[in-house]
Amino acid sequence: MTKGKGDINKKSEVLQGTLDLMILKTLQAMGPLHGFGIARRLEQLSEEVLRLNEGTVYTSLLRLQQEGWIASEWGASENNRKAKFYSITKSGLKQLARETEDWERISGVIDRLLRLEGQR
Amino acid sequence: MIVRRLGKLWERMRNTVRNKPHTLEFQAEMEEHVRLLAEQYRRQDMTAEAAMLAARRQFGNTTLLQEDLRTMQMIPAIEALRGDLTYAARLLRRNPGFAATAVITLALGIGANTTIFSVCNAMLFKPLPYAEPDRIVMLSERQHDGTLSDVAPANFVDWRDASRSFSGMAAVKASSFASSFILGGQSETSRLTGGDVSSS
Repeated sequence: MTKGKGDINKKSEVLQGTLDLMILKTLQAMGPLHGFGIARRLEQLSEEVLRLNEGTVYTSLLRLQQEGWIASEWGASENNRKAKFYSITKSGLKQLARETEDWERISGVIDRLLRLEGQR
Repeated sequence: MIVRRLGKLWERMRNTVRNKPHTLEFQAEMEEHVRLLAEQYRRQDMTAEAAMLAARRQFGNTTLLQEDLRTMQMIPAIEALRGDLTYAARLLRRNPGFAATAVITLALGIGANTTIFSVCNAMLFKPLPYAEPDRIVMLSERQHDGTLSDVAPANFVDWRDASRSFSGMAAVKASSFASSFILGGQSETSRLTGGDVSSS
């Protein structure tokens, strides 16, 4: 009864982490969206570089909800169908700020490091 | 923060007993997403079936997602326990002989234990039916060779009158044979065992 995912887990964990950040940012920038809307925006923003299965968005959404960074509410979508809308919460905004800072710091360090190598 | 954590734990505990409507809701949400994706593919001039197929493939594995949802909602230990109990029940049902043996063994063991405990409880563990039974002590005389013997009546009287350590004293005659009293009555007589006790 083991749930061995092995190496795939490592890669998917990294992607899930950045996906969380992207979803938070999307919700902060665009306001409440439903799952499909979030997937479409992500596709747009990444200019179709991000070819991930759209189901993974829901894994992130579940996790974000569990941490209390987003809240959900049933509402009517554009074509008047029932859809669950997600919005960012106050603690979600704080988390977004934290993660953005972390990301910028890390990417800055790696950037400098990579540039350093070329200066031989 | 702690309040929210406790709230979540409470939510998880409740989820162990009630049916989970969240699962159906989540399923509906995912199906809607797949449907919208299929619509998008339709607009790209695919047939209805091909569009649906492509949409499902693009979406990914819904079963895994449902599992993720479940993992978040329950207490893993209890779910594991529930699974194990169901498995055990299934095995026992398939081996009735073994099950019967196990049940009989358990029944004998529990029965024996209960009987012995009841007897010990009544005789040893229960306090004497007096007020403050932990203050009751038994006084005896000690012979030269160290054995305990009965208290001589005169000694008893002296101890009772002169001693200040005891709030009261009574003498009990322990008979070598239980003195039996016949309690006569209108309808039935019964034989009782008893001893002679002085007032205290």
